Amino acid sequence: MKRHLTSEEFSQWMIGVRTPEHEEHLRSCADCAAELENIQAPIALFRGAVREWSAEERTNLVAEQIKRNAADVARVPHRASHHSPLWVRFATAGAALALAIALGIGGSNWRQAGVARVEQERAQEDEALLGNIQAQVMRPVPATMQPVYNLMAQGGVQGSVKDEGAK
Amino acid sequence: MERVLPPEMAAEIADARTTLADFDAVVRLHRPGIFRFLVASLRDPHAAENMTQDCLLRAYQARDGFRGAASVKTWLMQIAVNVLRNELRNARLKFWRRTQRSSVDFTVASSWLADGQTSPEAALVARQQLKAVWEAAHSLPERQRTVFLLRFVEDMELLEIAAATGMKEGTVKTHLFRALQTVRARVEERL
Repeated sequence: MKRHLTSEEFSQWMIGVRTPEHEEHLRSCADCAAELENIQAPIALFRGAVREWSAEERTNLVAEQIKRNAADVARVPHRASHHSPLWVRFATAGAALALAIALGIGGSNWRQAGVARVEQERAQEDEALLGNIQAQVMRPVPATMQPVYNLMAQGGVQGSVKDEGAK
Repeated sequence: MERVLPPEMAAEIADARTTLADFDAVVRLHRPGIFRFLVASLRDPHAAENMTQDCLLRAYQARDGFRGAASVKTWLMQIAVNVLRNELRNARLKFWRRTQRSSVDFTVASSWLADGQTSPEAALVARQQLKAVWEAAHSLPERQRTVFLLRFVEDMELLEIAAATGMKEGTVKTHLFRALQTVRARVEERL
């Protein structure tokens, strides 16, 4: 095939309608090969640009969806007990522990105060008892003999007894 | 009486059904191409994404009816073309009119111009060529634009395009030829 390809034949080639004659001519004719390249180049640029643009847009859409989902999650009200920051949870636990310790110490003090009070009462009773015993021991006449002693004192015996006691 | 299929046809159907059985894999493989075709047709990424999902949903619902007469890609593109056509016909949405008003500016599109130009002059020429094809493609009538994109962006063969669009092969050739002539004329005007 000696003649160059026509404009229509180039288009036929481009859309996929190809003949062995055209193929042979394009292999042997530099002018037609260059012309075919001139036709193919802009379409190849378009193909590449559309593919890049499409991939970029898909990525942007996915990113938008992720942002929307994140915003939705942030808007949903949540219970503090489930989603409190870690420091709040530790602070709450610490306060509970301090309260328990304080109650424990307080209880212990209360119990200690009770024991001391009982011991003090017992000591006072013991002291009173000892004082009473001391008073009884120090009496010149035993308590059981005191009525007899009183009669004797009224009948004149009191002086002699008194004198003896003074001795 | 039950119809008996020839062994080779039965095998093709079995292969196609096996392919569609893992629908997640089908989505992963073909979703980018469907989205690309739709976004290039509409220039509206959000509308294209919605329609891609619609297309895949329809494919999932119809997967049992897939007989393997065409490849999975062709079958999915057929659904995409139908989804696109239905939406374009829909007087309420008027995607194409809307997207023509708010269409992606060429300045934005040209930022995806592939690297490789050896000089600023070559880069300028490439940019002008891309602009010419970009504008020409979107000025084409709907059918011409569809076959142009399926052929030159999705690299589909004429018979695949015919199957996807429901046109006869001769009709596809005619639309494609006219589309290419228009695009070439626009490029030549620019340079």
